[in-house]
Amino acid sequence: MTSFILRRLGSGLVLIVLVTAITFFLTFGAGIPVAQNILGPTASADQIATLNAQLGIDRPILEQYASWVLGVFRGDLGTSYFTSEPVAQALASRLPVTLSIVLVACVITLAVSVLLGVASAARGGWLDSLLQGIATISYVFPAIVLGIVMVYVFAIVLEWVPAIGFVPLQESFGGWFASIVLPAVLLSIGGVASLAAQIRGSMIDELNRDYVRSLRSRGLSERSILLKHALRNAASPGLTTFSLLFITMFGASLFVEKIFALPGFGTYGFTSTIQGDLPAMLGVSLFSVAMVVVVNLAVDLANGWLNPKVRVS
Amino acid sequence: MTVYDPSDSVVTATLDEQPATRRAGAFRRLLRTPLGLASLVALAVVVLLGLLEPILSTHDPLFASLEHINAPVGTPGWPLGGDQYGRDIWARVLTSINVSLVSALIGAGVGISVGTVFGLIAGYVGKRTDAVASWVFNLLMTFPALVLVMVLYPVVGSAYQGMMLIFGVFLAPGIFRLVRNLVEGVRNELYVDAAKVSGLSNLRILSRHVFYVVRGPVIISAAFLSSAAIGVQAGLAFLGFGSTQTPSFGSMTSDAFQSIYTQPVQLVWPALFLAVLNGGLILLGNAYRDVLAGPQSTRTKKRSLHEATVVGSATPRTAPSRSAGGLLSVRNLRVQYPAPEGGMKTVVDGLSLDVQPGEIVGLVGESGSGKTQTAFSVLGLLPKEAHITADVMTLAGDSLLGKKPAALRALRGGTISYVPQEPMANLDPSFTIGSQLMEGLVKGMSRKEAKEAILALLDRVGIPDPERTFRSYPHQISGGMAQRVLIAGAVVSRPKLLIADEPTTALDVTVQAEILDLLRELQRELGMGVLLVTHNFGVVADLCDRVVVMKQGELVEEGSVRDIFHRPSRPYTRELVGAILDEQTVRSDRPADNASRKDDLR
Amino acid sequence: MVRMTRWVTAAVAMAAAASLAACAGGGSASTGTGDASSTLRLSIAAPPSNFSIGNWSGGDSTLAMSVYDSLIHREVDGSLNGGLAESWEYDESATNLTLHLREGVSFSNGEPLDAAAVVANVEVLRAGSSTAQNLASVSSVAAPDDSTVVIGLSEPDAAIVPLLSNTNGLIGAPSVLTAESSQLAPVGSGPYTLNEQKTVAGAKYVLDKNADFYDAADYPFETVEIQVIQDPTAVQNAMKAGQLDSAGLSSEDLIAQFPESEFTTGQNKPSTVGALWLVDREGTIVPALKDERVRRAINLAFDRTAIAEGLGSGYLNASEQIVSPTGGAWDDELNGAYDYDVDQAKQLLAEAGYADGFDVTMPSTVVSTKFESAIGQALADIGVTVTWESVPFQDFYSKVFGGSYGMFFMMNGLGGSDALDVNASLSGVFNPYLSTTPELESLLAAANLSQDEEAFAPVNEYLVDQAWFAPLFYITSLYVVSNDVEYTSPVVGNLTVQPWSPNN
Repeated sequence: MTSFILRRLGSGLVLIVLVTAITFFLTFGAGIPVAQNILGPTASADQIATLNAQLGIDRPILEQYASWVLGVFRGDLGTSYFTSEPVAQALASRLPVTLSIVLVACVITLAVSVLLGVASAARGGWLDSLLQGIATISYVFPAIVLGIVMVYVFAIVLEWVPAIGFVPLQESFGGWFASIVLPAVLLSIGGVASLAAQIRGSMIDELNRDYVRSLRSRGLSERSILLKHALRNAASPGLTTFSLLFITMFGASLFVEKIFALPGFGTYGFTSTIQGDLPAMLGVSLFSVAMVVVVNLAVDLANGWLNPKVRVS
Repeated sequence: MTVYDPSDSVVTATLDEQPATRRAGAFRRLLRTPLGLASLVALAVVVLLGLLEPILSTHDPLFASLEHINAPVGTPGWPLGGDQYGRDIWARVLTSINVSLVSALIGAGVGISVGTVFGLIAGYVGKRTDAVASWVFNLLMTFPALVLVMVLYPVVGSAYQGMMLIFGVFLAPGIFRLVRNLVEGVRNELYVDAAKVSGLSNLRILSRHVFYVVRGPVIISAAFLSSAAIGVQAGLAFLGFGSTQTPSFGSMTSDAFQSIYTQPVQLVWPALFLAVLNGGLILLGNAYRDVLAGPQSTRTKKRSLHEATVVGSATPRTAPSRSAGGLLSVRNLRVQYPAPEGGMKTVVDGLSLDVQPGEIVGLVGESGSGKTQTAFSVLGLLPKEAHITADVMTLAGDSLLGKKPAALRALRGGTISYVPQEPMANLDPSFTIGSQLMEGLVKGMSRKEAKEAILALLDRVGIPDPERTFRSYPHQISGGMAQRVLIAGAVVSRPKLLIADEPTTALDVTVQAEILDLLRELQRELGMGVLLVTHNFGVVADLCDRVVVMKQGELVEEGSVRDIFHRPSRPYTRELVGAILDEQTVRSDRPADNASRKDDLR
Repeated sequence: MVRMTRWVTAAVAMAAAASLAACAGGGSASTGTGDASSTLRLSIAAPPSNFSIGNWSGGDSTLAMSVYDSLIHREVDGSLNGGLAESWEYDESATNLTLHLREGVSFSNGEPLDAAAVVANVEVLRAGSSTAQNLASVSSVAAPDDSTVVIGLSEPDAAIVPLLSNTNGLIGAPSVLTAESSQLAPVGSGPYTLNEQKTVAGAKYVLDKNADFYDAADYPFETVEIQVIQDPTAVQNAMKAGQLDSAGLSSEDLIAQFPESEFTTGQNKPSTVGALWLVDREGTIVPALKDERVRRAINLAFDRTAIAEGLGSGYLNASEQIVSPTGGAWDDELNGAYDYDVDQAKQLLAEAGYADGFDVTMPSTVVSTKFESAIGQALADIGVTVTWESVPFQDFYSKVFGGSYGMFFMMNGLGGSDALDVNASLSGVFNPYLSTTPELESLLAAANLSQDEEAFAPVNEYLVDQAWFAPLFYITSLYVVSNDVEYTSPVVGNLTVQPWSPNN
C-alpha cells in the first residue's frame, strides 16, 4: 500500500516537473515584454532595463528556471512580476476561495446526483423526466445566463446574498456561505446532469445483476438491496466521474469567479497568463497538476476500499 | 451459416448483414424518435445557415455603423439589430456559426482521429503498447484545462484554430478508451481468431470486423466531442482569449454581458444559437445512443423495485378446490411479457405442477422451454413487466395469488429459497461471504447466534475452513466453493421448498457430483421439497422423484422418474430421453451473461 | 505618463473602452467594520503592483496616496496646496526648487519626517522604475537644514511641481525605503494606514484613518475599503446590491438602472484623451505621415461630434487637442481647427502627392475595438485604407516600439497639468521615434521657464497646427454614487479619497 502511494506520488512529481518546465519554456519563447507592460506606455529603455534587472528577467533562461526550481524546494514560489506579492502567499489567499466554491459545489452535486440517480433508477417515470430536464437545462442555458438571472433575483431583488465578493470562513460562517452559495450552485448544475445520469445508468445495471436476485431470494428488503448493495457496487464508476467533475469544476470556477468578482485561483491563473506573469503562472501550474495527482490518488484509494477486487494489499 | 469459403471469412458474411441492417435501421429509428428528429432538424438548420452565410449575410460582421448602435430587432437591413458598437448582429451570428462549426470540426476531428487510431492500435496489439498508451491518455484526460490554456496561449495566441487543434488532442482520451475497450473485447471473440486462422492479415481483420463494432459509439462520441469543442471555443472567447477580429458566440456573449441591464435582448442571440448547437448535439448523441442500445432501454420507462406478483386467472380452468394439496400447487400458470412490436409474448402457457413435502421434482426442458420462468414465478422474482396469472398457486397451504410484494418477501429465505446457476455472479463482490449470508438472518436471532449457525452450515456443506471463507470476498474463492456457500445461504433458515435452477451446470464435472450429493443429503436431513430446474437428464435420474417436462412454455408430460425414463408417452419426451448419450453432456445453451439472463424471453 | 501604466490589465479586463478612468467603487459592508456610515467602499479594476516608493504603477493612485503623503497636495478643485512641503518657490533661473517642510510630522513607525528623509526619498524616486523618467530633469537634491530641501534641475521643467503632487512626490519611511517589505506593507505618513490583517493582497484593501494626520478633517471616513473587481457588470451588481458606495458607468443607458431615490449620477471632469497618434512623423514606416498636409488631412476626416454622440453619448466630447479643457493651454477656438471636411482632406492629400490615398496597418486592441469601424470608415472616405491587426494587449507596447506601426489609436490619461500632459504626449509609446523640431523645442523651453497658467498654450497651438496628432475626444466619465455619500468630481481623478464625504 505504501509503495503504491509512493509510486503514484513519484510519477506525479515527474508530471509536475514536466508541466512546469513546458510552461516555463513556452512562455519564455513567447517573449512577452513584461517590464514594458508593467511600466506602461511612457517607460524609457533605461527604466525597462532597471526593472528587468530588478525582476531577474534578464538572466539566461536556464538560470532562471534553475533558480525557480531551487526556490520551490525551499518553499519559495517566487514573486509575481505584476503585484510583487509572493506567489505562495497569493495562492494561499486565493485557493480557499476557489476551494470553497468547488467543494460546496461538489457536495451539492454529489448529494443531488445520488438522490436523483438512485431514485430514478429505482422508480423511473417522472424522475427520469426530471433528470432529463435538468440535463437539458444544463446544456441549453449557458452558465452566464443562469448566473445573471440568479444574481439579479437573489442578490439584487431579494438581497439574500451579496452580489460580489468573498467572505472568509473564519470571519463568519453565514457570510461565507452566502458569498459562495450562488457560484457553487451555478457550478453544480452541469455536474448534476452528468453524474446523476451516470449513477442512474450504473444503478440500473447493478439492479439487473444476478446477485441482486439472489439477495432478494433470501428475503432482503428492497432498501437494503438498493442502498447497501447496489449503490456500493455502482459507486466505483461514479467515483471516477466525480473526480473528473472535481477537476473540471476547478477550471470552470474561473467563469463564476468573473461573474461574482471572487478573487479566486482561476482568476489568478487567467490574469497571470494574459500578462505573462511567469512566477504566478508556474505557481498555478504546479498547484493544479499537484491537485490532479492527489485527487487521482484519492480516487484510486477510495476505489480500492469500495471494490475489494482492486485492493492493493 | 454459409458454407465455409477460405477466401473469405465465414464471419464476414454474417457480420456484414448485421451491421448494415442495424445501421440503416438505427438511423431510421433515430428519425422516428421525437428527440432525435428535433435535434437533427435544428442542427441541420443551423449548419445550413452557416453554409449559406455568403448569401444570407447582410453586412460584413466587423462593419460598424454609428447610427445603428443598439439598433432594435427588425431595423431594415439589420434583421437582428445592432450591437453596442453598431455591428450587424445577424451577420455576426452567421459568421459565429461558422466559427463554431469549424471549431467542432477541428476539435472533434482531431479528438476522434487521435483517439480512434491509438485506441485501435492499443486495443489490438495490447500489452506494452496498450499500457503506455493508456498511461498517456489517462494523463491527457486529467490534465487541468486552465494549465493547458496557460501553456498554449503564448504559443497559439489569438488564433482559435490552433487552440482547437491542440484541445482536440485533449478531447481524445474518452474516444481512446472507448475504442480500445471495444477492440479488446472484439479481439477476444472467437470469430476474429477464426479469421486469423484463415489467413487474413491483421489490418484486414481490424478494418472489417472491429470497425463495425466501433462505429456506433464513435458516432455518438463525435456528437459529444463537437459540443465540447464548441463550448471550449466559446468559453475562451468569452474570457477574452480570442482575436478581436473574429466574431464568435463567446465574444458576442461577452459583449452582451456588458450591456446586460440596458440591452438584455442582445444576449438572447448568442445564447440561443449556442443552446441549439450544444443542446442539439448532446441530445442527438443521447438519442442515437438510446436507439443503438435497443428498444428495451427506451421502452421500460417506469421501473419498480418490486417484482411482479401473481394474480388469479381471470378465467380459471381449474376449480380452486381441486388442488393436489402438498407443498406446492400450481395450476394453469401463464407468464407473459410485452413484446417490442406490441402485444404480448407468452413464455409459459398453462403450466401445472405439484411438489409434495420431501419430494424432489425435476423441471426439465430445452432452452426456451420456460422452466426458469416457472421457477421464478413461484419465487416471485420476475421483473415488473411480467404478467403472471394462475388458477392456483399455493405454497404450504398459503395461496400466493394476489399477495403483496412485502408478503412474498417474508416467505423468501424462510419458507421458500433459491439456489442459482452461476455461483460467482450471484454473490455481491463488495461484501464478505459472511456478511452477505448474515444479512438475511439477523432479524430472527442475535448476531452471535447467526454467525454460529452459518459457520456450522458452511462446515456442513463441505467448506474446509469456514472461518476463513466467512471473512473472504467472493473473488477469493473458487466456483465450487461459491456454490456451496450459496446452498448454505439457501438452507440456513430451513426452508420448506428449495428451488434450484441448474445448480451444477456452471461447475466443473468433478464438482458437479459433489454438489448433487450435498443437495441430496441436505434434502433428506431437512425434509425439504425441491423443485430442480435442469436440462440434464443425468441429474434428473440421479436426484429426482418426479419429472415435469416442458416445451415452449407448455407442459408436455409429467410423471415419476421411472415412468418417464422407461415409458415416455409423448414423442417429445421420447426424443429427449433418447438424446441422452453419455455422461459427457455438452452444454447446449450459451454461457449465461448478466444481461441475457434477465431478458430471457424464451 | 505614470498614470497610464495599468492599461494592460485594466484594458484586458474588458472594461468598456470609454470608461476606463472609472471612479472607484467599494467593498463589502457585511464584514461590519465599525460604523457603516464612516466606511467608504470603492473598487478598482486591477490590483496595484508595488507600494514601494518609486515603483507604483497603476492607473489608480488612491491606495498609494492614502498611505503615503505627498510633498504637494492636489485639491479636488485642481489647485495645488501645501502638503509635506508647506510652501515652495523657484529661484530666478527656475532650476532650483526650494521646499519648506512642515514640522512635527512622523511616519507610522515613529521615524521623523525631516529634510534628510525627503532627500533620501527623492534619490530613490530619481531611480524608481515608474518615476525616473518623469523626474529626469532632477540633477541634485540637498537639505540645507532640517526643514528645507532644495531640488536642482538640469533645465527648467514646469512638470516638476505637479509631479510632486502625485505618486512621483510620495515620501516613505527611510529605514524601509528599499526594503522588500515596503512592496506590500508600506510605511508612510498619509491620512490612512493599511490594515494588514484585514487586507487580502490583490483582492481587498482596508485602510484605517490616521488620527495624527495634520489635515485629518479633510478625510472624514474612518475606514476605506477598496475591492479589486475586474468585470464591469460585477461592479454594477455590487453597486445595486449596496456593496459599493461609488462606481463608474460605461454608458448613459445605465443611469436608468440606478433610481434617484437611492443613487446620484453625474459626469466627471475630463480624465482621458482618445486620439490617433501619428507617431511616424519621420515617415519611416508610413512615408505619407512625414508630410504635415497628410496629417492635417487625417484630422479633417473625422466628424468628431457624430462619433462622440454615437459612440459615447454623455461621456465622449469632441476634441482636437491633447490637453485638458480644465487647463490653461486649452483653447476653445482650436477645437474648430479641423472641422469635418472630406473634400478639403482629399485635396490636401492630393497636394501632398497622395491623390490615390495610401494604406496603413493599425493595431486592434481591446481599447480600439469600439472605435475601429468609425475610424476605418472616416479614413476610407478620404482614401486611406486601414487594415486592423489584432494585437493582444501585452504585445502592444513592444510592437509599437519595435516599429510595426506608423500610427495607432490609444487613450492617454490627463494628469491635471498641461506640463504633464504635453510631456506625456511627447514621450514613451506616444513618441517612440522621439520626433521633435527645433521650433517645438524652443516653445517647450519657454513654456517650462514661464510660471504662467497658460504657459503651454503656444505649445498646444503648435501641435495642433502641425497636426502632430489627430485627437478625437476627451472623456468625462459617468459616475454613480449611493446617496449615503457626497461626491465632488475632482479635476484630477483616481488620486485620493477626498472627493467623497459622508452624507449626514
